[in-house]
Amino acid sequence: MISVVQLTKRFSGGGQDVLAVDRVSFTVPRGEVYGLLGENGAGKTTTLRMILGLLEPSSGYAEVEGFRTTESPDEVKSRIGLVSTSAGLYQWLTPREMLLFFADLYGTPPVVAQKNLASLARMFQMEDYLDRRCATLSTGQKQRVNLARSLIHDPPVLLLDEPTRGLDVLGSKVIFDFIAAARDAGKAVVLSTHRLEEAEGFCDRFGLLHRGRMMHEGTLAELQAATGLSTLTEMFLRGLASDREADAA
Amino acid sequence: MSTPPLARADSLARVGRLTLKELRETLRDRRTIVTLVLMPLLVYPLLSLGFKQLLAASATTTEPRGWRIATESDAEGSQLQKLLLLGETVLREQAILSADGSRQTQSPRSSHPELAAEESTLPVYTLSSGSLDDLVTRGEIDLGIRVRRREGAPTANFSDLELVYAADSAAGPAAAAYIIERLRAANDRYAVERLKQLGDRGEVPATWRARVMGESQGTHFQLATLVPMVLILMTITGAVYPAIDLTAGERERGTLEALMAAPVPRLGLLFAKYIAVLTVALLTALVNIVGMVITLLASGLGAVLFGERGLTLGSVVLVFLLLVLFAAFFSAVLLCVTSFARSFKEAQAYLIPLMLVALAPGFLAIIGTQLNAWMCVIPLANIVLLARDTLQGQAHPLWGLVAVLTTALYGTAALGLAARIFGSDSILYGSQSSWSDLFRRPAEPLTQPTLAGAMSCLALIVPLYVLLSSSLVQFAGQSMAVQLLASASMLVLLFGVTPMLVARWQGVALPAGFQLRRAPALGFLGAVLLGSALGPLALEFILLSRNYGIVTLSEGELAEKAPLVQRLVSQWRDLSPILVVATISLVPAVCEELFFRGYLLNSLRGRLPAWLAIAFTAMIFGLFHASVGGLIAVERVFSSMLLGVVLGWIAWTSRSVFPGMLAHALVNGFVVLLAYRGEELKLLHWDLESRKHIPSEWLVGALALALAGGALVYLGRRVLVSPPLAAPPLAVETPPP
Repeated sequence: MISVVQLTKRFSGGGQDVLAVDRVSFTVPRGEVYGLLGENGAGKTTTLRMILGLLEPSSGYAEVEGFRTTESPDEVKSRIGLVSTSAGLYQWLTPREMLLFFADLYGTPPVVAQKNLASLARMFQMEDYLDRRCATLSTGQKQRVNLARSLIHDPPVLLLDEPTRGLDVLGSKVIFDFIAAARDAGKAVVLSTHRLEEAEGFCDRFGLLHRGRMMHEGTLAELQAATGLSTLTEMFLRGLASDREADAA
Repeated sequence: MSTPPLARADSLARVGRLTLKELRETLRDRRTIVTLVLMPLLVYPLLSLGFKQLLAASATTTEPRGWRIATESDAEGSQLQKLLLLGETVLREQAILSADGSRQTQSPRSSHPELAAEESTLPVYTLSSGSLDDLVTRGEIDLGIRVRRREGAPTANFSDLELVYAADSAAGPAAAAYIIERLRAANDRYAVERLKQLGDRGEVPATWRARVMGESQGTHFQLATLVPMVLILMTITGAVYPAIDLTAGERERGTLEALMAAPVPRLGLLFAKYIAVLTVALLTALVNIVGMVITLLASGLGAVLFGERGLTLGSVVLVFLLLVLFAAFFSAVLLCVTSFARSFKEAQAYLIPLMLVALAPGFLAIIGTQLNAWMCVIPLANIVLLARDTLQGQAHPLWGLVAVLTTALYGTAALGLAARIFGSDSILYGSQSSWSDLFRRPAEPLTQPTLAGAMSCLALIVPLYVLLSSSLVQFAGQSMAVQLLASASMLVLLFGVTPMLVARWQGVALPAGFQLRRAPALGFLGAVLLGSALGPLALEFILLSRNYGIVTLSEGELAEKAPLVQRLVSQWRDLSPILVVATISLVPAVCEELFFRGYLLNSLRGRLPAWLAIAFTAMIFGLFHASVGGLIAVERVFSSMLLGVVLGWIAWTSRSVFPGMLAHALVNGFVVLLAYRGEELKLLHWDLESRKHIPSEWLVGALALALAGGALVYLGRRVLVSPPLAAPPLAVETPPP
């Protein structure tokens, strides 16, 4: 479903040359939740943006359902739903107008869009505020509208960039339920987060990124066997420590 | 899951729906409503009040009825009025006599008995209390006058007057000058009458007659120049907020990333935003123009500002059309600037200098700058000056056309740049990329010019063409050889060097980008036949246009130009034919083909249907040939368009500019032939001055040649697989890493 091969991104400018993502590779089949984990600035978001075609890779490539991002960007985009905490809403539109607008952007036929909208409104309990201006919604309501936006065209792939950042327990639970439902629906999900303990609970496989490089990759059992450590946090901290030692040397 | 066909994403209907969404969002925002409706409701009544105050203040200093003049007693006032009455009568007589052309010394009353003024035009008040000096000092009166009977004078009519006014008064000196003028006229009349009584004929050393040319424009036209500036500023004001909100605002709210993640081309998204901004700008322009017209009609300022004919419906419609064009241009500029910005505040910071720059043309209009070859290619200034001239009914057709054309081109170029900027990596994720990425040349050379690049090049060449053409006048005093070389150099610079530099900067491979490819021999043979036929056919086209009255050059104008043309032709004959053929035929053919068919037409290949691409290029080619000696020649535009269509078809079919260059050179050579062998051609019934068509045998022969040439070009066409586009059109020109 998702195939990332030797994906690399180098940013140049202002006399600086930053290697944000360094030859990262992984695959995510249908019905699997893949946790792309790492500290802030590890390269998680840049990787997701390259998969989506919003950033052009310096080398390597990403494929979604056989379509390469750099060659068929629209085919790739039409198959992906993006959830990002930084995403906002159109303040002067209602959730219904906004969701139908995005359905139209993705080329979803109006009848199908209406059907998807009704289904998502039930799923996220949005019926009461579907026709209120987005500016008047609470934070939790806005979060649900954003989740619904990513699903309105019923994509086979979901990319979630730090979806629980800034959310309380209830808000986070909505996200966890959302991810579980997506897995059950057979979607391939990539979840980028720095909350390792959270990810441990519901991701099927993991990729631990550090300074743009893939430190470890596999299921929790595979990672435990490879590192001899029991939790992702321990694995990550050990990686950091060895990195510091290497820097000091 | 069903994946819809992505072709839908490009559909016009999709762009229409996108535009509706943008408009819905924008028009629901109360900030838009404020600029759209409330501003015009406030601005025009306030402006009319300001204008009225200005006019009233002006009238206070110049209109006698507005002056406050006082004497100390009724008797003094009565004596003053008698003197003013006499002076007024004399001045009126002189004015009428001057208009008649009569001499000042003729007896006026006998021929114009009706001229005697029955009352003075000046109201004079009598003081009830206080002194004249105090009242003048306090500014309660403009002018105080003491009238003292002169002692020892023969009659009581002789008086000495003292006029008192404040040094800083505006009306006081004007009133004093008015009264002195009438007193002087009365004294002069008395002196002449006395001389006559003494037996003298009353002759004076000099008489005069003033003749005023044209109609006085007064101060109203200076104020009228403010009108287009106000309209343009208000239109800008209407477009600014939506432009920021739909670009930088979208990024700030976090909706831009979700939008860019959708499978819709960037150009489609930007175009929808552009139409939304343009619609709001036009609504603002419409509301403003309606508000302005209503205010002018209701306040009666229309006639004051625009003279006796007032504000006509025609001029209002024309100004609105200019505002449409201006709004189209400025909306593109605004989107270009605001697309750069990463936040609302940043966009505002960019727009403040832009708005200040936009004010400058208004001042040019106020100080009376003329719309000429230079001004008509300067963005903003050209439309402000053209709107001013249109309101005054004095627009120059050629400069007006150039102003309209360049503005449209600038708008297209700005939109192309905005499409490149909008939603790009460096703007979307500004912290990670640099703006220089936007202008980075691709690592691999492009095999085809980008559409945005070609339009930018065109937007650069048009003003350069106008400026360089007008500067050729400086060579008028030089020899014909120098003039021809200067003209040829201009063409090389414009159509050869400029597009090549632009293409090089954009990373376009010159041979492929300009279609500098080998062409099949049949293509060249066909081009020879077509080129030989096109000259006579283009001439027949001009004659047909003239026969059907589709002309802008009158017979009189042609007759006026005829001696100049004959002189040119005779000067050509004195030169080496090689120089004439090279500068008149070869250089224009090579350079114009390089740009129009090599670069411009090539940029449209694969992006527009062949007929539309050829028609567009031919239209631009025709418009470049619109000017003949500073006048617009529509008939020449049409014939050049016909040539452009055929030359475009040759280049499109053969995928090379070389056959077209050959055909073009032959067409130009036909002009040289007419010049050199005009006399011999007359023997072959080519006396075009007395004919309505070219000789029928020539016409039939030319048509046959054209058909044969066309067939050969078609047979020799290069059937090539279209090379893959190095960059997709406009918006998605992302350079490879």
